[in-house]
Amino acid sequence: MQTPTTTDSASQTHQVWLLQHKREKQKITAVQILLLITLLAVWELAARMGWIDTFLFSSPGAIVEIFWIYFSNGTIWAHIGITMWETFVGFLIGTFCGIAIAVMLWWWPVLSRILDPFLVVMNALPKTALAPIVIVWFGAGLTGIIAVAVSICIVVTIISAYTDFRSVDADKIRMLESFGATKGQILRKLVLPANRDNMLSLAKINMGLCLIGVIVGEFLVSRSGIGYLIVYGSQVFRLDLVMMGVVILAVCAWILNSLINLLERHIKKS
Amino acid sequence: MRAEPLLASNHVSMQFFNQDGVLHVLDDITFELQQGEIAALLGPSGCGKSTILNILSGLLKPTGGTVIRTGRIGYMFQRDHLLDWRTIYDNVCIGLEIQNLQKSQEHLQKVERLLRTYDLWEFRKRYPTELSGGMRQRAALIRTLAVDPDILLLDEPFSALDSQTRLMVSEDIAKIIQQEEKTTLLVTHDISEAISFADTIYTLSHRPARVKKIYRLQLTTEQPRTPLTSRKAPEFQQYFNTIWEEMMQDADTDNN
Repeated sequence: MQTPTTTDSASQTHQVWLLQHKREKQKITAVQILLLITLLAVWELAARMGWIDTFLFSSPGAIVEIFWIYFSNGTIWAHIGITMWETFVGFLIGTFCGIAIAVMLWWWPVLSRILDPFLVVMNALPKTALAPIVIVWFGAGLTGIIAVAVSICIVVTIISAYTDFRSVDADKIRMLESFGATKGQILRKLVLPANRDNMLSLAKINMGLCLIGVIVGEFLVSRSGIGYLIVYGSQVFRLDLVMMGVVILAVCAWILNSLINLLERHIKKS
Repeated sequence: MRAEPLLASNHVSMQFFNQDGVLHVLDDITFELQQGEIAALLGPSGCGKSTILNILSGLLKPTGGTVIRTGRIGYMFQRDHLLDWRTIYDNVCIGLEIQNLQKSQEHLQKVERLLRTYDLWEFRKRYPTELSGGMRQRAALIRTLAVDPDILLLDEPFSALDSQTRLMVSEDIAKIIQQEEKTTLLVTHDISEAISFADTIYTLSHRPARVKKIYRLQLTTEQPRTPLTSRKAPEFQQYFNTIWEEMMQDADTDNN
Protein backbone atom coordinates (compact mmCIF):
# COMPACT_ATOMS: atom_id res chain seq x y z
CA MET A 1 0.00 0.00 0.00
CA GLN A 2 1.19 3.46 -0.84
CA THR A 3 1.06 6.46 1.46
CA PRO A 4 -0.44 9.42 -0.40
CA THR A 5 1.37 12.27 1.35
CA THR A 6 4.18 12.66 3.82
CA THR A 7 1.98 14.25 6.49
CA ASP A 8 -0.30 11.23 6.35
CA SER A 9 2.61 8.89 6.80
CA ALA A 10 3.80 10.99 9.73
CA SER A 11 0.39 10.79 11.36
CA GLN A 12 0.30 7.06 10.69
CA THR A 13 3.64 6.62 12.41
CA HIS A 14 2.24 8.63 15.26
CA GLN A 15 -0.82 6.34 15.42
CA VAL A 16 1.45 3.33 15.63
CA TRP A 17 3.46 4.97 18.38
CA LEU A 18 0.28 5.81 20.31
CA LEU A 19 -0.92 2.22 20.01
CA GLN A 20 2.39 0.86 21.24
CA HIS A 21 2.36 3.31 24.10
CA LYS A 22 -1.16 2.23 25.07
CA ARG A 23 -0.28 -1.46 24.91
CA GLU A 24 2.73 -0.89 27.13
CA LYS A 25 0.54 0.81 29.72
CA GLN A 26 -2.02 -2.02 29.60
CA LYS A 27 0.71 -4.58 30.11
CA ILE A 28 2.01 -2.81 33.21
CA THR A 29 -1.50 -2.64 34.69
CA ALA A 30 -2.08 -6.33 33.95
CA VAL A 31 1.15 -7.32 35.70
CA GLN A 32 0.25 -5.14 38.69
CA ILE A 33 -3.14 -6.83 39.07
CA LEU A 34 -1.61 -10.26 38.59
CA LEU A 35 0.99 -9.54 41.27
CA LEU A 36 -1.71 -8.53 43.77
CA ILE A 37 -3.84 -11.59 43.02
CA THR A 38 -0.83 -13.90 43.33
CA LEU A 39 0.17 -12.45 46.68
CA LEU A 40 -3.36 -12.79 48.03
CA ALA A 41 -3.69 -16.31 46.63
CA VAL A 42 -0.39 -17.47 48.14
CA TRP A 43 -1.38 -15.93 51.48
CA GLU A 44 -4.79 -17.64 51.41
CA LEU A 45 -3.27 -20.93 50.34
CA ALA A 46 -0.59 -20.79 53.04
CA ALA A 47 -3.30 -20.16 55.63
CA ARG A 48 -5.51 -23.03 54.46
CA MET A 49 -2.64 -25.50 54.19
CA GLY A 50 -1.49 -24.56 57.68
CA TRP A 51 1.95 -23.26 56.55
CA ILE A 52 1.38 -20.07 58.55
CA ASP A 53 -0.41 -19.57 61.85
CA THR A 54 -3.70 -17.79 61.02
CA PHE A 55 -3.86 -16.60 64.63
CA LEU A 56 -0.82 -14.39 63.89
CA PHE A 57 -1.14 -13.78 60.15
CA SER A 58 -4.88 -14.03 59.49
CA SER A 59 -5.91 -14.67 55.89
CA PRO A 60 -7.59 -12.75 53.03
CA GLY A 61 -10.71 -14.88 53.44
CA ALA A 62 -11.01 -14.08 57.13
CA ILE A 63 -10.49 -10.39 56.45
CA VAL A 64 -13.25 -10.36 53.83
CA GLU A 65 -15.49 -12.28 56.25
CA ILE A 66 -15.09 -9.78 59.08
CA PHE A 67 -15.43 -6.88 56.64
CA TRP A 68 -18.75 -8.35 55.53
CA ILE A 69 -19.97 -8.44 59.14
CA TYR A 70 -19.06 -4.80 59.73
CA PHE A 71 -20.38 -3.86 56.31
CA SER A 72 -23.76 -5.61 56.57
CA ASN A 73 -24.58 -4.16 59.97
CA GLY A 74 -23.45 -0.74 58.72
CA THR A 75 -21.00 0.03 61.55
CA ILE A 76 -18.04 0.27 59.14
CA TRP A 77 -19.40 3.54 57.71
CA ALA A 78 -19.47 5.15 61.14
CA HIS A 79 -15.81 4.23 61.69
CA ILE A 80 -14.71 5.43 58.26
CA GLY A 81 -16.82 8.57 58.53
CA ILE A 82 -15.42 9.64 61.88
CA THR A 83 -11.81 9.13 60.80
CA MET A 84 -12.31 10.99 57.53
CA TRP A 85 -14.12 13.82 59.29
CA GLU A 86 -11.38 14.22 61.89
CA THR A 87 -8.73 14.19 59.16
CA PHE A 88 -10.62 16.71 57.05
CA VAL A 89 -11.19 19.17 59.91
CA GLY A 90 -7.61 18.77 61.15
CA PHE A 91 -6.35 19.33 57.61
CA LEU A 92 -8.36 22.52 57.17
CA ILE A 93 -7.37 23.97 60.54
CA GLY A 94 -3.71 22.96 60.21
CA THR A 95 -3.29 24.24 56.67
CA PHE A 96 -5.14 27.52 57.06
CA CYS A 97 -3.74 28.41 60.49
CA GLY A 98 -0.26 27.33 59.40
CA ILE A 99 -0.34 29.53 56.29
CA ALA A 100 -1.89 32.41 58.26
CA ILE A 101 0.93 32.23 60.82
CA ALA A 102 3.49 32.06 57.99
CA VAL A 103 1.94 35.25 56.56
CA MET A 104 2.30 36.93 59.94
CA LEU A 105 5.96 35.90 60.14
CA TRP A 106 6.49 37.32 56.65
CA TRP A 107 4.70 40.52 57.59
CA TRP A 108 6.69 41.10 60.80
CA PRO A 109 10.25 39.85 60.24
CA VAL A 110 11.09 40.63 63.88
CA LEU A 111 8.45 38.13 64.94
CA SER A 112 10.07 35.44 62.82
CA ARG A 113 13.48 36.21 64.31
CA ILE A 114 12.04 35.91 67.81
CA LEU A 115 10.15 32.68 67.11
CA ASP A 116 12.86 31.04 64.99
CA PRO A 117 14.54 28.90 67.68
CA PHE A 118 11.16 27.74 69.01
CA LEU A 119 10.01 26.71 65.56
CA VAL A 120 13.26 24.88 64.88
CA VAL A 121 12.94 22.84 68.08
CA MET A 122 9.25 22.19 67.50
CA ASN A 123 10.04 21.05 63.97
CA ALA A 124 12.79 18.69 65.10
CA LEU A 125 10.63 17.18 67.85
CA PRO A 126 8.72 14.02 66.89
CA LYS A 127 5.24 15.48 67.26
CA THR A 128 3.65 12.15 68.25
CA ALA A 129 5.38 12.65 71.60
CA LEU A 130 3.08 15.61 72.16
CA ALA A 131 -0.07 13.59 71.47
CA PRO A 132 -0.70 12.51 75.10
CA ILE A 133 -0.32 16.11 76.30
CA VAL A 134 -2.56 17.45 73.58
CA ILE A 135 -5.20 14.83 74.45
CA VAL A 136 -5.10 15.86 78.11
CA TRP A 137 -5.47 19.52 77.17
CA PHE A 138 -8.19 19.19 74.58
CA GLY A 139 -10.10 16.26 76.00
CA ALA A 140 -10.35 12.60 75.14
CA GLY A 141 -12.71 12.94 72.23
CA LEU A 142 -13.17 14.35 68.78
CA THR A 143 -11.62 17.73 69.70
CA GLY A 144 -8.56 16.08 71.22
CA ILE A 145 -7.97 13.89 68.17
CA ILE A 146 -8.33 16.81 65.77
CA ALA A 147 -5.93 18.78 67.97
CA VAL A 148 -3.35 15.97 67.68
CA ALA A 149 -3.71 16.06 63.88
CA VAL A 150 -3.25 19.83 63.85
CA SER A 151 -0.24 19.63 66.17
CA ILE A 152 1.45 17.21 63.79
CA CYS A 153 1.03 19.24 60.61
CA ILE A 154 1.00 22.88 61.65
CA VAL A 155 4.71 23.41 62.41
CA VAL A 156 5.82 21.95 59.07
CA THR A 157 3.23 24.13 57.34
CA ILE A 158 4.44 27.30 59.05
CA ILE A 159 8.10 26.62 58.31
CA SER A 160 7.68 25.53 54.68
CA ALA A 161 5.19 28.26 53.78
CA TYR A 162 7.37 30.93 55.42
CA THR A 163 10.46 29.69 53.55
CA ASP A 164 8.47 29.76 50.30
CA PHE A 165 7.22 33.29 50.99
CA ARG A 166 10.75 34.46 51.72
CA SER A 167 12.12 33.00 48.50
CA VAL A 168 10.08 35.40 46.34
CA ASP A 169 12.45 37.42 44.13
CA ALA A 170 13.46 40.63 45.97
CA ASP A 171 13.65 42.52 42.66
CA LYS A 172 10.02 41.69 41.90
CA ILE A 173 9.11 43.18 45.28
CA ARG A 174 11.16 46.26 44.33
CA MET A 175 9.28 46.44 41.04
CA LEU A 176 5.96 46.60 42.91
CA GLU A 177 7.39 49.07 45.42
CA SER A 178 8.44 51.33 42.55
CA PHE A 179 4.72 51.70 41.80
CA GLY A 180 4.14 52.51 45.47
CA ALA A 181 2.72 49.13 46.49
CA THR A 182 1.77 48.57 50.12
CA LYS A 183 2.78 45.45 52.02
CA GLY A 184 -0.74 44.06 51.65
CA GLN A 185 -0.62 44.56 47.88
CA ILE A 186 2.77 42.85 47.67
CA LEU A 187 1.28 39.93 49.61
CA ARG A 188 -1.86 39.66 47.47
CA LYS A 189 -0.43 40.40 44.06
CA LEU A 190 2.96 38.70 44.35
CA VAL A 191 3.78 36.54 47.37
CA LEU A 192 0.59 34.46 47.53
CA PRO A 193 0.06 33.89 43.78
CA ALA A 194 3.76 33.16 43.25
CA ASN A 195 3.49 30.37 45.83
CA ARG A 196 0.22 28.81 44.70
CA ASP A 197 1.86 25.58 43.54
CA ASN A 198 4.01 25.39 46.66
CA MET A 199 0.94 25.72 48.86
CA LEU A 200 -0.84 22.99 46.89
CA SER A 201 2.01 20.55 47.45
CA LEU A 202 2.04 21.62 51.08
CA ALA A 203 -1.65 20.71 51.26
CA LYS A 204 -0.85 17.30 49.83
CA ILE A 205 1.75 16.63 52.51
CA ASN A 206 -0.59 17.95 55.19
CA MET A 207 -3.36 15.52 54.27
CA GLY A 208 -0.98 12.61 54.90
CA LEU A 209 0.33 14.10 58.14
CA CYS A 210 -3.21 14.72 59.43
CA LEU A 211 -4.17 11.11 58.79
CA ILE A 212 -1.15 10.05 60.88
CA GLY A 213 -2.24 12.45 63.62
CA VAL A 214 -5.80 11.17 63.61
CA ILE A 215 -4.73 7.51 63.82
CA VAL A 216 -2.31 8.29 66.67
CA GLY A 217 -5.11 10.14 68.45
CA GLU A 218 -7.54 7.28 67.93
CA PHE A 219 -4.96 4.79 69.22
CA LEU A 220 -4.81 6.77 72.43
CA VAL A 221 -8.40 7.60 73.29
CA SER A 222 -11.18 6.85 70.86
CA ARG A 223 -14.29 4.68 70.93
CA SER A 224 -14.68 4.68 67.16
CA GLY A 225 -12.75 5.26 63.97
CA ILE A 226 -10.33 3.16 61.96
CA GLY A 227 -7.51 3.73 64.46
CA TYR A 228 -9.83 2.42 67.17
CA LEU A 229 -10.64 -0.71 65.10
CA ILE A 230 -6.94 -1.44 64.64
CA VAL A 231 -5.97 -0.95 68.27
CA TYR A 232 -9.07 -2.82 69.52
CA GLY A 233 -8.36 -5.71 67.17
CA SER A 234 -4.79 -6.02 68.43
CA GLN A 235 -5.92 -5.89 72.06
CA VAL A 236 -8.35 -8.76 71.60
CA PHE A 237 -5.90 -10.52 69.27
CA ARG A 238 -8.21 -10.47 66.26
CA LEU A 239 -5.59 -10.02 63.55
CA ASP A 240 -8.25 -10.17 60.82
CA LEU A 241 -9.82 -7.05 62.35
CA VAL A 242 -6.42 -5.31 62.49
CA MET A 243 -5.67 -6.19 58.87
CA MET A 244 -9.11 -5.03 57.77
CA GLY A 245 -8.49 -1.70 59.51
CA VAL A 246 -5.16 -1.29 57.73
CA VAL A 247 -6.68 -2.11 54.32
CA ILE A 248 -9.53 0.35 54.84
CA LEU A 249 -7.03 2.97 56.00
CA ALA A 250 -5.01 2.43 52.82
CA VAL A 251 -8.14 2.93 50.71
CA CYS A 252 -9.07 6.08 52.67
CA ALA A 253 -5.57 7.51 52.23
CA TRP A 254 -5.77 6.80 48.53
CA ILE A 255 -9.17 8.52 48.26
CA LEU A 256 -7.97 11.58 50.18
CA ASN A 257 -4.90 11.79 47.97
CA SER A 258 -7.03 11.55 44.83
CA LEU A 259 -9.31 14.30 46.12
CA ILE A 260 -6.33 16.62 46.64
CA ASN A 261 -5.00 15.77 43.17
CA LEU A 262 -8.41 16.57 41.73
CA LEU A 263 -8.45 19.90 43.56
CA GLU A 264 -4.93 20.64 42.33
CA ARG A 265 -5.85 19.96 38.72
CA HIS A 266 -8.99 22.08 39.06
CA ILE A 267 -7.05 25.04 40.48
CA LYS A 268 -4.23 24.78 37.96
CA LYS A 269 -6.71 24.77 35.09
CA SER A 270 -8.51 27.91 36.21
CA MET B 1 20.10 80.03 31.44
CA ARG B 2 19.14 76.46 32.07
CA ALA B 3 15.64 75.65 33.21
CA GLU B 4 14.80 74.06 36.54
CA PRO B 5 15.95 70.43 36.43
CA LEU B 6 13.38 67.64 36.69
CA LEU B 7 15.78 65.55 38.73
CA ALA B 8 18.96 66.67 40.43
CA SER B 9 21.44 65.12 42.77
CA ASN B 10 23.57 67.52 44.83
CA HIS B 11 26.72 66.12 46.44
CA VAL B 12 24.96 62.93 47.39
CA SER B 13 27.00 60.52 49.49
CA MET B 14 26.06 57.20 51.00
CA GLN B 15 27.54 54.99 53.68
CA PHE B 16 26.30 51.60 54.78
CA PHE B 17 26.98 50.16 58.22
CA ASN B 18 27.46 46.50 58.94
CA GLN B 19 29.28 44.22 61.40
CA ASP B 20 32.66 44.79 59.77
CA GLY B 21 32.42 48.56 59.78
CA VAL B 22 31.48 51.28 57.36
CA LEU B 23 31.06 50.77 53.63
CA HIS B 24 31.51 54.02 51.74
CA VAL B 25 29.56 53.50 48.52
CA LEU B 26 28.89 56.99 47.13
CA ASP B 27 31.27 59.87 47.60
CA ASP B 28 30.04 62.88 45.67
CA ILE B 29 27.32 62.43 43.09
CA THR B 30 26.22 65.63 41.42
CA PHE B 31 24.23 65.83 38.22
CA GLU B 32 20.97 67.13 36.88
CA LEU B 33 18.41 66.08 34.37
CA GLN B 34 16.47 68.59 32.27
CA GLN B 35 13.03 68.05 30.81
CA GLY B 36 13.28 65.75 27.79
CA GLU B 37 16.96 64.99 28.32
CA ILE B 38 18.42 61.50 28.20
CA ALA B 39 21.41 61.13 30.50
CA ALA B 40 23.56 58.13 31.33
CA LEU B 41 25.46 57.31 34.49
CA LEU B 42 28.36 55.19 33.28
CA GLY B 43 30.40 53.36 35.85
CA PRO B 44 32.32 50.12 36.36
CA SER B 45 30.48 47.09 37.78
CA GLY B 46 29.94 47.29 41.51
CA CYS B 47 30.46 51.04 41.76
CA GLY B 48 27.12 51.55 43.51
CA LYS B 49 24.85 52.29 40.56
CA SER B 50 21.88 50.49 42.08
CA THR B 51 22.38 52.48 45.28
CA ILE B 52 22.16 55.70 43.27
CA LEU B 53 18.92 54.55 41.64
CA ASN B 54 17.43 53.57 44.98
CA ILE B 55 18.29 56.99 46.37
CA LEU B 56 16.91 58.83 43.34
CA SER B 57 13.66 56.92 43.44
CA GLY B 58 13.31 57.55 47.16
CA LEU B 59 13.64 53.92 48.32
CA LEU B 60 16.83 54.85 50.22
CA LYS B 61 17.76 58.00 52.14
CA PRO B 62 21.27 59.31 51.42
CA THR B 63 23.64 59.93 54.35
CA GLY B 64 24.76 63.22 52.77
CA GLY B 65 23.62 65.65 50.09
CA THR B 66 20.18 66.19 48.65
CA VAL B 67 18.02 64.92 45.82
CA ILE B 68 15.57 67.19 44.05
CA ARG B 69 12.74 65.40 42.32
CA THR B 70 9.98 67.41 40.69
CA GLY B 71 8.22 64.56 38.92
CA ARG B 72 7.07 61.01 39.42
CA ILE B 73 9.59 58.30 38.73
CA GLY B 74 9.13 55.16 36.65
CA TYR B 75 11.59 52.36 37.14
CA MET B 76 12.72 49.87 34.54
CA PHE B 77 14.80 46.96 35.70
CA GLN B 78 17.51 44.71 34.34
CA ARG B 79 15.07 41.83 34.07
CA ASP B 80 11.48 42.32 32.96
CA HIS B 81 9.93 40.91 36.17
CA LEU B 82 6.71 40.05 34.38
CA LEU B 83 4.55 37.82 36.56
CA ASP B 84 4.12 34.39 34.96
CA TRP B 85 0.55 33.89 36.16
CA ARG B 86 -0.74 37.12 34.64
CA THR B 87 -1.45 37.79 30.98
CA ILE B 88 0.57 40.49 29.25
CA TYR B 89 -2.38 42.86 29.59
CA ASP B 90 -2.73 42.19 33.33
CA ASN B 91 1.02 42.52 33.77
CA VAL B 92 1.04 45.87 32.04
CA CYS B 93 -1.83 47.05 34.25
CA ILE B 94 -0.30 46.02 37.58
CA GLY B 95 1.00 49.52 38.30
CA LEU B 96 -2.47 50.93 37.67
CA GLU B 97 -3.98 48.31 40.00
CA ILE B 98 -1.56 49.27 42.74
CA GLN B 99 -2.39 52.94 42.37
CA ASN B 100 -6.12 52.14 42.13
CA LEU B 101 -6.34 53.45 38.58
CA GLN B 102 -7.41 50.18 36.92
CA LYS B 103 -10.82 51.67 36.16
CA SER B 104 -9.54 55.01 34.90
CA GLN B 105 -10.57 55.22 31.23
CA GLU B 106 -7.79 57.68 30.50
CA HIS B 107 -5.11 55.28 31.70
CA LEU B 108 -6.70 52.22 30.09
CA GLN B 109 -6.84 54.04 26.77
CA LYS B 110 -3.18 54.90 27.20
CA VAL B 111 -2.36 51.26 27.83
CA GLU B 112 -4.28 50.24 24.74
CA ARG B 113 -2.53 52.88 22.62
CA LEU B 114 0.91 51.80 23.91
CA LEU B 115 0.20 48.12 23.32
CA ARG B 116 -1.09 48.82 19.81
CA THR B 117 1.74 51.21 18.90
CA TYR B 118 4.46 48.87 20.08
CA ASP B 119 3.03 45.68 18.56
CA LEU B 120 1.88 43.89 21.67
CA TRP B 121 -1.87 44.35 21.33
CA GLU B 122 -2.49 40.97 19.69
CA PHE B 123 -0.37 39.32 22.37
CA ARG B 124 -2.21 40.94 25.27
CA LYS B 125 -3.97 37.70 26.24
CA ARG B 126 -0.78 35.63 26.11
CA TYR B 127 1.37 34.78 29.10
CA PRO B 128 4.94 36.07 29.50
CA THR B 129 6.50 32.63 28.92
CA GLU B 130 5.03 32.64 25.41
CA LEU B 131 6.87 35.85 24.42
CA SER B 132 10.41 36.55 23.23
CA GLY B 133 12.90 38.43 25.38
CA GLY B 134 12.49 41.60 23.34
CA MET B 135 8.70 41.54 23.56
CA ARG B 136 8.89 40.94 27.29
CA GLN B 137 11.17 43.93 27.75
CA ARG B 138 8.79 46.09 25.71
CA ALA B 139 5.90 44.91 27.87
CA ALA B 140 7.93 45.83 30.95
CA LEU B 141 8.50 49.33 29.61
CA ILE B 142 4.81 49.76 28.82
CA ARG B 143 4.02 48.62 32.38
CA THR B 144 6.22 51.47 33.60
CA LEU B 145 4.80 54.02 31.13
CA ALA B 146 1.19 53.06 31.96
CA VAL B 147 1.26 55.03 35.22
CA ASP B 148 2.56 58.04 33.28
CA PRO B 149 5.86 58.82 35.04
CA ASP B 150 7.71 62.08 34.37
CA ILE B 151 11.16 60.54 34.70
CA LEU B 152 12.32 57.09 33.62
CA LEU B 153 15.12 55.36 35.48
CA LEU B 154 16.62 52.50 33.47
CA ASP B 155 18.73 50.12 35.53
CA GLU B 156 20.93 48.28 32.99
CA PRO B 157 17.77 47.38 31.10
CA PHE B 158 19.50 45.37 28.39
CA SER B 159 22.24 43.51 30.18
CA ALA B 160 20.15 40.37 30.74
CA LEU B 161 19.67 39.96 26.96
CA ASP B 162 21.97 38.26 24.48
CA SER B 163 24.00 40.61 22.30
CA GLN B 164 21.84 40.53 19.16
CA THR B 165 18.51 40.85 20.96
CA ARG B 166 20.16 43.59 22.93
CA LEU B 167 20.77 45.84 19.91
CA MET B 168 17.22 45.36 18.70
CA VAL B 169 15.64 45.89 22.09
CA SER B 170 17.66 49.02 22.85
CA GLU B 171 16.59 50.35 19.45
CA ASP B 172 12.94 49.61 20.35
CA ILE B 173 13.18 51.08 23.82
CA ALA B 174 14.97 54.22 22.59
CA LYS B 175 12.26 54.78 19.97
CA ILE B 176 9.53 54.42 22.56
CA ILE B 177 11.29 56.85 24.90
CA GLN B 178 11.73 59.39 22.09
CA GLN B 179 8.14 59.10 20.90
CA GLU B 180 6.74 59.36 24.40
CA GLU B 181 9.19 62.23 25.08
CA LYS B 182 10.29 60.87 28.42
CA THR B 183 13.09 62.35 30.47
CA THR B 184 15.36 59.41 31.09
CA LEU B 185 18.29 58.39 33.22
CA LEU B 186 20.12 55.28 32.05
CA VAL B 187 22.49 53.54 34.41
CA THR B 188 24.97 51.19 32.77
CA HIS B 189 28.51 49.84 32.69
CA ASP B 190 28.47 49.54 28.88
CA ILE B 191 30.31 52.42 27.18
CA SER B 192 28.83 51.99 23.69
CA GLU B 193 25.35 51.62 25.10
CA ALA B 194 25.74 54.90 26.97
CA ILE B 195 27.06 56.74 23.89
CA SER B 196 24.38 55.36 21.61
CA PHE B 197 21.55 56.13 24.01
CA ALA B 198 22.29 59.35 25.85
CA ASP B 199 22.67 63.10 25.27
CA THR B 200 24.85 63.49 28.35
CA ILE B 201 27.16 60.97 30.02
CA TYR B 202 28.36 61.21 33.59
CA THR B 203 31.27 58.85 34.21
CA LEU B 204 31.60 57.43 37.69
CA SER B 205 34.71 56.26 39.53
CA HIS B 206 35.16 53.01 41.42
CA ARG B 207 33.79 52.76 44.92
CA PRO B 208 33.30 55.15 46.62
CA ALA B 209 31.72 56.53 43.46
CA ARG B 210 31.91 60.16 42.45
CA VAL B 211 31.17 61.87 39.14
CA LYS B 212 34.47 62.16 37.28
CA LYS B 213 33.58 63.77 33.99
CA ILE B 214 30.63 65.03 32.04
CA TYR B 215 30.38 64.42 28.30
CA ARG B 216 27.78 66.39 26.36
CA LEU B 217 27.59 64.30 23.23
CA GLN B 218 27.45 65.83 19.76
CA LEU B 219 26.82 63.10 17.22
CA THR B 220 26.32 63.69 13.52
CA THR B 221 23.62 61.21 12.59
CA GLU B 222 20.95 60.74 10.01
CA GLN B 223 17.62 61.83 11.39
CA PRO B 224 16.20 60.55 13.56
CA ARG B 225 18.91 59.69 16.00
CA THR B 226 18.58 56.14 17.34
CA PRO B 227 21.07 53.83 19.05
CA LEU B 228 21.90 52.20 15.69
CA THR B 229 22.46 55.44 13.75
CA SER B 230 24.44 56.77 16.70
CA ARG B 231 26.75 53.80 16.47
CA LYS B 232 27.43 54.75 12.86
CA ALA B 233 28.20 58.40 13.66
CA PRO B 234 31.79 59.45 12.89
CA GLU B 235 32.28 60.81 16.44
CA PHE B 236 31.19 57.54 18.05
CA GLN B 237 34.61 55.86 18.00
CA GLN B 238 36.36 58.99 19.28
CA TYR B 239 34.01 59.23 22.27
CA PHE B 240 34.39 55.52 22.90
CA ASN B 241 38.20 55.73 22.94
CA THR B 242 38.27 58.77 25.21
CA ILE B 243 35.89 57.27 27.73
CA TRP B 244 37.55 53.86 27.54
CA GLU B 245 40.96 55.37 28.30
CA GLU B 246 39.54 57.35 31.16
CA MET B 247 37.96 54.27 32.69
CA MET B 248 41.13 52.23 32.18
CA GLN B 249 43.19 54.87 33.99
CA ASP B 250 40.79 54.54 36.86
CA ALA B 251 41.22 50.76 36.88
CA ASP B 252 45.03 51.17 36.87
CA THR B 253 45.09 53.53 39.82
CA ASP B 254 42.84 51.08 41.62
CA ASN B 255 45.23 48.21 41.11
CA ASN B 256 48.21 50.18 42.38
